[in-house]
Amino acid sequence: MRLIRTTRYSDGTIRVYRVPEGEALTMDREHGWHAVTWDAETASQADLDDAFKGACELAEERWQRAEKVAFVERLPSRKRGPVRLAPGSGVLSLLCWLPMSKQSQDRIFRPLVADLQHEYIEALAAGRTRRALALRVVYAFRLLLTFGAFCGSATLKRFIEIWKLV
Amino acid sequence: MSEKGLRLPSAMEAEILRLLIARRESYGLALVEGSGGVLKRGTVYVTLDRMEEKGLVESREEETPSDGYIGMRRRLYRVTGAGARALQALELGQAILDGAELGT
Repeated sequence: MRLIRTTRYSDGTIRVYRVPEGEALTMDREHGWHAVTWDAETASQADLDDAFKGACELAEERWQRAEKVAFVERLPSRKRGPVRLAPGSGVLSLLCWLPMSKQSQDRIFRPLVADLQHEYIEALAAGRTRRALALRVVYAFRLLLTFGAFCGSATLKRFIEIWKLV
Repeated sequence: MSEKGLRLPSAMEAEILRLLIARRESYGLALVEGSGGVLKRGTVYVTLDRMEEKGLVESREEETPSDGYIGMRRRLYRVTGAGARALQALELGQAILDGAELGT
């Protein structure tokens, strides 16, 4: 990902990102979300380039009109397979490295990440960009809490098993 | 899991069962929001996993995400027969302890 431009204006920030192949764009417009959302499976690189160009032009146009411009948000890459869309995709990749069964990943962490993603997207769709950004920070804590609860539960389970053996 | 080994649900599990019975089917965060602070975001998924292991709830992945969503599919939970009976038993026991008149 190559950062094209970052400009601060009044209380808003323009952040326009170059989007890698397979990723899509959404952009804030008039407090509603003008979604340039692509089906990552079928969108061609030309589609994505057009979307990116359109988003940049829109940002520029609004900048010229001295309007607040939010940001162009990265959406998922087709390279990441079925688990995609920030935030959370990276976390799931990270979980593979932790001593945890596939079942625990599927039944505890994937539902959590899916719910968090939906909450994030809903905030974006409602034009609540600040809330969406805040949610990204909160997610880290929620994931840590869940991981803590998982470890606590697993330790207790192991302890009970040992206790039964003794 | 065999229902012979079924135990009464904990307070948190009972709250989840009540919410799921009322909503028929729901996902983790919606349960937290609907519980009025009884359920916590950090522990609800671990509790749901444990309940599924006990046979109190069952889950499935959302069929198709809502319009425009391209995120991961949410996991929807629903109460099993064993879960409903466990909650019923808990509430009956509670009613006896509270001295409530039981219907004939």
